Amino acid sequence: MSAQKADIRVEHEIHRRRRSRNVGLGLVLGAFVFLIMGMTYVKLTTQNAERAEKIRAEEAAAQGTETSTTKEGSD
Amino acid sequence: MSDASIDSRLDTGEAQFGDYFALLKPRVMSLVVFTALVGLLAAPGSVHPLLAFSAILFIAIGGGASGALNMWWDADIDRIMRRTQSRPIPTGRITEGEAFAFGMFLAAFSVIMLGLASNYVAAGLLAFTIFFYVVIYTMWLKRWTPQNIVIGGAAGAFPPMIGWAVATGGVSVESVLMFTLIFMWTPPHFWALALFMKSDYRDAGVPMLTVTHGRKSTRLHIIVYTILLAPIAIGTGFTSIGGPLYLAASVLLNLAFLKGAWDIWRRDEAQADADSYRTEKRFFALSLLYLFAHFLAILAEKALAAYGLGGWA
Repeated sequence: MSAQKADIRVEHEIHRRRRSRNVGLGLVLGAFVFLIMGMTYVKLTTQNAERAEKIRAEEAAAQGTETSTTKEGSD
Repeated sequence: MSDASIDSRLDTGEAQFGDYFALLKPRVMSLVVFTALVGLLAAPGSVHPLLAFSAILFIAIGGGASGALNMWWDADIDRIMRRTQSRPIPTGRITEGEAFAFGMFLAAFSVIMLGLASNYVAAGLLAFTIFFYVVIYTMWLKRWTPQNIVIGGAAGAFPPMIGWAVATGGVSVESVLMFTLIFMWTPPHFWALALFMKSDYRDAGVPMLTVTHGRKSTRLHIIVYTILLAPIAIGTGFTSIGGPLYLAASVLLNLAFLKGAWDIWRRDEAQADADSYRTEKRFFALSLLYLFAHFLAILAEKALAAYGLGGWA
């Protein structure tokens, strides 16, 4: 068991040699995750809000037309 | 083979993170970022800052992917030319196969991500730019015709159009003019470089104008293209992205550029050799300033417009 632990801790020479590559790739992937999160948040909060507002306005306009048509009909 | 011999073999020339970054041609990428950003900011309408940042990032990655694929295809001539011998493939730090896979992955990634971050017109333009640079310029024109720089220059001219499309979802006269400005600027810029990078292109067998038509003809071509460039650059000043500041800057820059081209045209090889191509090198440096200042002036007009000062309104 203790021997296994020691094996895990041992840093192979290849790890040292590829450190800059691995650290760089890790940072790039981490940054990409945050970027996707940010883009998703912006798209949901701004673009969807704009679209929802437009749909609400269209619905309100359609309802207004319907009401006025009904009123005209009842006269 | 002992463990020691395996280790010593692996130890030589392992590619680091910086080598993969170098594969993206960061200097070219900086021009792509700057011109795309100006195209995006000069366009009417607004884009959320994070989406604008993402779009510029993906355009830059697309430009970098083109650079990696260019290095993959041109590895043979990069080994010959002094200017390119220290690139990651000629030095053996990255294999040609790795560069190809890296470039293809980034090309697909950048186009898809730009489409998701902005719109599919911008993504389509980016895809076409990568295709144009890699297939039309690198694989076809570069080793076939001395007009390689003229037609291939289109690839470097697309970024402001892509930036504009990110903001507007389309193409307009202004974005086409920004494209034309870079397109017409590229030949004199590269031919000046070819004049003082004397034997590189000849050694590599690249049919640069200096190799196929001679240096005297190249000097003539430089002045002709510089004359054709001037009305396009100045004319842009009368559109919605121009204004008095841009116009003043453009007139001065074009006068200086024309003077430089005139000086190059009047010289012969003996004179150029005598002062180690000082005029040609100065013209090359001026060409970088010329393009940077034009796009900076477009940006300044847009910034001033926010205070009611820029543009013609």
